[in-house]
Amino acid sequence: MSRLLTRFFGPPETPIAPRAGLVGGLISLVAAAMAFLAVAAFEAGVAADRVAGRWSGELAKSATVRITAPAEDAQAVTAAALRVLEIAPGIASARILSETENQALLSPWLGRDADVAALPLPILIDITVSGRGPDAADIQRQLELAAPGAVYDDHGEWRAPLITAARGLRIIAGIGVALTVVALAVMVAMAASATLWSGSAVVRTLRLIGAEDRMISRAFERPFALRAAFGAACGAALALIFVEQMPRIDGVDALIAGASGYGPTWWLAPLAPLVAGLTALIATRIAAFVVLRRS
Amino acid sequence: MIEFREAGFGYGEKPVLSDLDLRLDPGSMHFLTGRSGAGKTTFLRLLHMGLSPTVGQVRVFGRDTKGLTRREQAEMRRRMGVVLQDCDLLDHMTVLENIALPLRINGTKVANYERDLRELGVWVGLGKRLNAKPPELSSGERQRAAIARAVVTSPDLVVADEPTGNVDADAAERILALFVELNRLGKTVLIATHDMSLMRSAQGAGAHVLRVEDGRITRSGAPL
Repeated sequence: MSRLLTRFFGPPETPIAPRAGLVGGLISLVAAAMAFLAVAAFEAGVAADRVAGRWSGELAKSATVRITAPAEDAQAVTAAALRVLEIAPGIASARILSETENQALLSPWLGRDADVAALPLPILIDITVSGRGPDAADIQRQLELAAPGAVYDDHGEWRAPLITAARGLRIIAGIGVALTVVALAVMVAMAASATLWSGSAVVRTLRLIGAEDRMISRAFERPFALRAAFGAACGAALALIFVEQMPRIDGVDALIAGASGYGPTWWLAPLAPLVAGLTALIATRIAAFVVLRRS
Repeated sequence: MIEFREAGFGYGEKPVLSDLDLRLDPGSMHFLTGRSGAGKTTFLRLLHMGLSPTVGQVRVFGRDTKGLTRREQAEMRRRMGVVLQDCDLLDHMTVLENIALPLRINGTKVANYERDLRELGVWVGLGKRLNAKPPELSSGERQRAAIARAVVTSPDLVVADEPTGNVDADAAERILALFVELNRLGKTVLIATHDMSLMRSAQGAGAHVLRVEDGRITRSGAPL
């Protein structure tokens, strides 16, 4: 391949800046670590976003009526509550949860073998809402009149803190990504400054033969950017493989465990080295500008 | 072309050079001589804008070097070839690549000039050493490589600081012959040296001698 390229384009020119050597290797390593952390943080943010969306969507589509009444009145109160729900606007369907379903709901806390029937549990009516759903206050008022002891729950109390928590996680993930980019920029800038100071003889020679600061800076930018991009590509790929290996749970369990929607975002693979390379390029340019002004 | 107008340079209160009033005409050749530490290198640095005069003016190619931006300074340096005592070759490049470096800086495609570059290498006596790296060269070879690099863009002015400082007599003769040849090609040449034998070797070249003494420069006698 290189022979073919040489044939058409001539032999590649030796870079003006000397090989970055150990510093270059360290830049690759730092970029890899930063990209890994950034991708992991980003994926965590995306997962939190997906989970929040799912929670919000799932919970908004349903509501529950909880009936707490003396055993002898329970059937009558439940029937009255169902009659209210049947004619209320914004409710698509309403059905009483079976004992098995109650058991499934409680099994994460009590275990699958728990004797749910022996517990003084309220009767639960599962409601599927339609459109924007019913007016919660209005339906509660009707239930109080027709079925005392029935409580309408639109899950808002559950949804709000979960969504707030998910939003918080997204913000933390965003800050994490931003901080890793800043940390990478600082590391590269420090490495570039050190390289330029230690390579002052090269800078002096280039100046002597008429190189402008911009040209000198460019000579150092490219290798730094390429090394950062290479490191970031490795780190991002590793992070995506790691995310791919994360267990994914679907269904009700996922809603409880918060693990649903956790999966790799593959477009990050080319984006991470691009961002790292660009960050290194800008960081090197700024560092070179400062060093060359002082030298 | 080059003019010092009441120029001087000093570090703080202590002047290194003062009352410099002289003019170097295009196509002339000069030796700048004086004892070590007299200010020869400072004079050359004023010329290639490594330093800025603390008083007066240094005009190069008709422009006052003091008011130039960094970019303009770089442009001016591309019109001169500078050879320093320690050569300043880039060790990671071959001799040929070092010689070609000013062309790359100028944005010229070096591959198109490979034959010319090799001829230049032969002219400075490095025909068989062009693929070597600078650390593999002798002092004289390094000096000649630096001279080739200095003249590769055919600059108007060639400045050399003790170009024969680290070489034996034979190599010094060869290096001097190169500068004389450059001057014959119409280049203005300024060589800083404290080697009197080098100047004696330049008899007949028509070079002027500038003497640095007590921070001042005097033109001495008739051309060599």
